[in-house]
Amino acid sequence: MIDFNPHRLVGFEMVDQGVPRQGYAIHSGNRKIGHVTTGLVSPPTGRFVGMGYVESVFAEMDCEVQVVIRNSPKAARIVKRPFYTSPHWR
Amino acid sequence: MEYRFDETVRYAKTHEWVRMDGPEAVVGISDYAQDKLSDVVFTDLPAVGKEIAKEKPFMVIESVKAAEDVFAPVSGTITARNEKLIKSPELVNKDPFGEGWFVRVRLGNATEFDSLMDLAAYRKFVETL
Repeated sequence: MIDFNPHRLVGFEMVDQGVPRQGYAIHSGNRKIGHVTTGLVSPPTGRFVGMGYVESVFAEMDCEVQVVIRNSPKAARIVKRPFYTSPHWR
Repeated sequence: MEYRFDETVRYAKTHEWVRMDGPEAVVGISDYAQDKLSDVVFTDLPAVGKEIAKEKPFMVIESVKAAEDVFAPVSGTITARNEKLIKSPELVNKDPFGEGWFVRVRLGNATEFDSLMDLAAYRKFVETL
């Protein structure tokens, strides 16, 4: 069967304050569109970042979504990975 | 490992401390608690005006390792919160009894402060853990 609504793995950055954690729901408006697979505070930048699966229509750069942290939706946006490129990378 | 203690505050079993400052109480977590949490990355501070009840969670603190509830050591109304923690959550690790305070509370019941552990009792309590 063809999956008409495939999910894609994306990176996101929190716009509101809050640490996204594994298992948290990702919403668009009031509808669940995916979930967080990993989230943390990025040590080099101090930003709240994470990865998760979302419905492919939302897997676009700068797409605005919400991560539900302790029952309150917090704004996040899809960003390009890698989140950070080391200046020491060779 | 030697933990830092502060003799001007009283302690709750859940490792919060309370310092009376005039009619208000200042609340934070002890050095023992910050050490167990490891590096604090985020404090989900409650809004000013929120009512808190003793022994009930009133905010969440997140470290690199865990997200933990902070339990109210006293009942009352939040009158101020430490806005510095939003930009610099590491203050909780650096100076838990000073710059790393969380909120100021107008006490609902003054006797609750007296029922908290003093330094000697809390030091003994930490040694048993």
